[in-house]
Amino acid sequence: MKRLLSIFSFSMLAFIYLPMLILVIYSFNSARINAVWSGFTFDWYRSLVDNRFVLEAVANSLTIAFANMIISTIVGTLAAYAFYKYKFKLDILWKGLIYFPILIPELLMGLSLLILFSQVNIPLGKVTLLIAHITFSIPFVYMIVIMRLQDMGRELEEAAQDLGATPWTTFFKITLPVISSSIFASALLVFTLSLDDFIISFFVAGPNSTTLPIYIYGMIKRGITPEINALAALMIVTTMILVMIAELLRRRGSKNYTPFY
Amino acid sequence: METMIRVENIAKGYDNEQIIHPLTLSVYEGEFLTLLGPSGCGKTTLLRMIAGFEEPDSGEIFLAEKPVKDKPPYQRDVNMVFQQYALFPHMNVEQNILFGLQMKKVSKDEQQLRLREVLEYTQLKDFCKRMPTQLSGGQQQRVAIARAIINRPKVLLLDEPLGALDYQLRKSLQLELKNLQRKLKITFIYVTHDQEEALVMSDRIVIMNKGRIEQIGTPETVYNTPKSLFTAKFIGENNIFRQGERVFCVRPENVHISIADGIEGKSATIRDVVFTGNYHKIYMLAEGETTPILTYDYGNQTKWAAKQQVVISWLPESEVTLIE
Amino acid sequence: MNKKGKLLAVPTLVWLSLFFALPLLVMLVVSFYQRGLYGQVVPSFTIDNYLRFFEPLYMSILVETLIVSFITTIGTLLLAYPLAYYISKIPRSRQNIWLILVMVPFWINFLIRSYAWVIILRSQGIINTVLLKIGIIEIPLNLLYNWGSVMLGMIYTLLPFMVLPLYVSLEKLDKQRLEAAYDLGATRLRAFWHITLPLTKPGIIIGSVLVFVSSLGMFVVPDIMGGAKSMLLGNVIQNQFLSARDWPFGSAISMLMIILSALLIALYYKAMQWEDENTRLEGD
Repeated sequence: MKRLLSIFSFSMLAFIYLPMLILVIYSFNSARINAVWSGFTFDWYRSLVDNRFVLEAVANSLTIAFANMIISTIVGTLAAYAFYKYKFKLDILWKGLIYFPILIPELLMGLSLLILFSQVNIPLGKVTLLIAHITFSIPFVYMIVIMRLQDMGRELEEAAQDLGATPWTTFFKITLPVISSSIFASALLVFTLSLDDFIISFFVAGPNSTTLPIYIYGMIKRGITPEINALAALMIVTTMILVMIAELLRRRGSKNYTPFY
Repeated sequence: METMIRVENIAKGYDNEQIIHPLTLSVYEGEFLTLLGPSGCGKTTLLRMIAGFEEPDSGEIFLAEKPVKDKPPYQRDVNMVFQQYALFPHMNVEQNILFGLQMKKVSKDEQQLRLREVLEYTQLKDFCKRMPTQLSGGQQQRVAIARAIINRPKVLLLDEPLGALDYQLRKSLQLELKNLQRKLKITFIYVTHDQEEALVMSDRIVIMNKGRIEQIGTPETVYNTPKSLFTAKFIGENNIFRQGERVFCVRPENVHISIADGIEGKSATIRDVVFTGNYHKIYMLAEGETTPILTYDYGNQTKWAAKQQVVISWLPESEVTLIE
Repeated sequence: MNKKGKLLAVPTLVWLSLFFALPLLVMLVVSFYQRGLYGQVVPSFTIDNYLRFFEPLYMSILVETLIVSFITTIGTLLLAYPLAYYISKIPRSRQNIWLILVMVPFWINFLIRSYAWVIILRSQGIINTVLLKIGIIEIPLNLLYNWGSVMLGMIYTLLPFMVLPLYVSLEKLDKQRLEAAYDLGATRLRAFWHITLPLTKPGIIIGSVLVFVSSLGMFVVPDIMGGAKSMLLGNVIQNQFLSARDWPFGSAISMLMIILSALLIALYYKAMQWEDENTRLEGD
């Protein structure tokens, strides 16, 4: 029975990774249309670099991801700290407000923002993209940081205060260093979320603020080309590396490491 | 003797539950005072209120005659040793210990002087550069103590500091702490649920139950003359008797047991003889009763055995009348 | 005690109220408006949009979506449970590696993950090419652009969502209770059925809610891997906002989807509470 389970599990792992592995491999296939392997090539990657639309999309994606990362991480961390330390009236309402964005389908979040922006006459562009990204990112930062804070417990901060540290000093000299790896992890994850986001971005991006996933969608709709493979492969590898680093950072920080959901 | 801490009519409640009913307590300078009681009796809450981590709903707290109720922890001249030590994981032993002095902006020379002193007291000289995760439980505990006493606080608060350690370590650290307190002459307020620990270490014990003080006294007083039924049952082992309206107790060591051959006393049968190492516990059932009476037989060998018929007696002075 | 620290939460709460709660409210309002001639939103009150949803066309799509979501949920559950079970049984150090490996794809967007299947399944894709080469088939199989491929895509992309809650539930399971059962003569199968399964109910519910709610709103997978006939609710909504330009109607359908999601999320919350209360015994 154990062996069956183990075989099944490894097969599942293969099921999960094989398609992406194939994608990466075929991004080096010199055949344009067929799935027949006709030789190794970097051509498709090269054509990406020459494609100014791709470069523009990459630039947009990176800019938004970076700005989002900075803002969401700071704002989310501060909120997590406030909720960890104090009791709030209408606690359930606030927690609901923070967790709901993660739970409802992204489609609905993207659409509602689209409606808001159009009713208030804000033109779609990098700003609306950034606003949307921050909105779905803050809850993630909150969740990760507050878990780490609860893990830390209250004794450390109390000890610092007992020894003469004011709340400010306590936060900067004790709390922040102790939870720092979780903060970095959430920053990385938010960066990744932004980079990879398609559904919400699709609805709130303007004509001149295409992100990479939106561009890929357009490419797929226009027809299957090997350049898509190359682009997708790059995104897969980048995301995987970033997420692995983030998870390792979270593990390093915490005693009771649980992958969150 | 000067009063170091005075707690007047302090009360605390949460969500319709009264954790501490209004109580008043004085702690004298240089004494080792223990707050003793079962879980939930309020002893830790009381300690935390003195430290400044909980705000009392009413009443006032005086430290060296000055009111401190509204002062935050970092402005009170008390220091605490936490139950789980709360060592800062990102700092080594030396940095942990010096933290309080750095907060007070004590000069570097003075810091080093006091550091050396405190390392002597706690035998941590070789561990300065180690990180907390590289230390054993007992060592972490010493660091926590060093970190607190280096500040020369007026009062040291200890929240069940020995709870996480094994028996032998706990026993030796109990004596170490007691000696440390005598040497430093700092007032200690110690919280524990272990009555044996309280008896060994304290100058005075405050027995708490359900948010109230049951009794305050020296270990001898509290042991030999408990005031209430709760205290009689909580401290050591005791035999409780009821006679009409009167409830009284007799300590097992004051119960005499002899062979049944015409001596005056209660007749009983031995139910169990239990070996505990350096003495035996003898449980006896008097005729018609269901609660066993306990006595001790010292020495690691005993002539008593189950089913023997015996006669129990005790001196009238051994009886302590209790309030319920 | 210094309460000013509560203000630290203000930026987050204000931001989310403004850009999460408010848009949903606006969407609610728009769902009662009308569509103008040129696709603009005309602010005159009507409940037509909601009524229109009950037409057979949309009802059938709703039913299809519910069925697909249901099958997806069951499918992911059947695949994820043994996997989560296995992970909970291996030594701690390996558990973390497995979990990271399973969860990492969750962060890669649906688009790319679905697309990977497209190049495998399409008529000039890997499977067909291999089968043709070997000679097993003579004309390419229609593996893509049908309900089957949509289901495959959905299950594939949502699998990680189910594994994690199941793992957490299984991991909290008190091994001692299982041992007590074996001690009393239960076979492995009976112990699983009567103890493990019921006690992991919260994990099952949480995972199922996450997967089901995600499936409801899914439009990428049907868009890329499904044909013209496999339209789901998400595609309908997407349509209303893009080509059909009927925002009020799209909003109405979205509101219904939100209500459905909210009910399921309430179920999720209950399951979380149940998990907390019932997997810990006195003295834990």
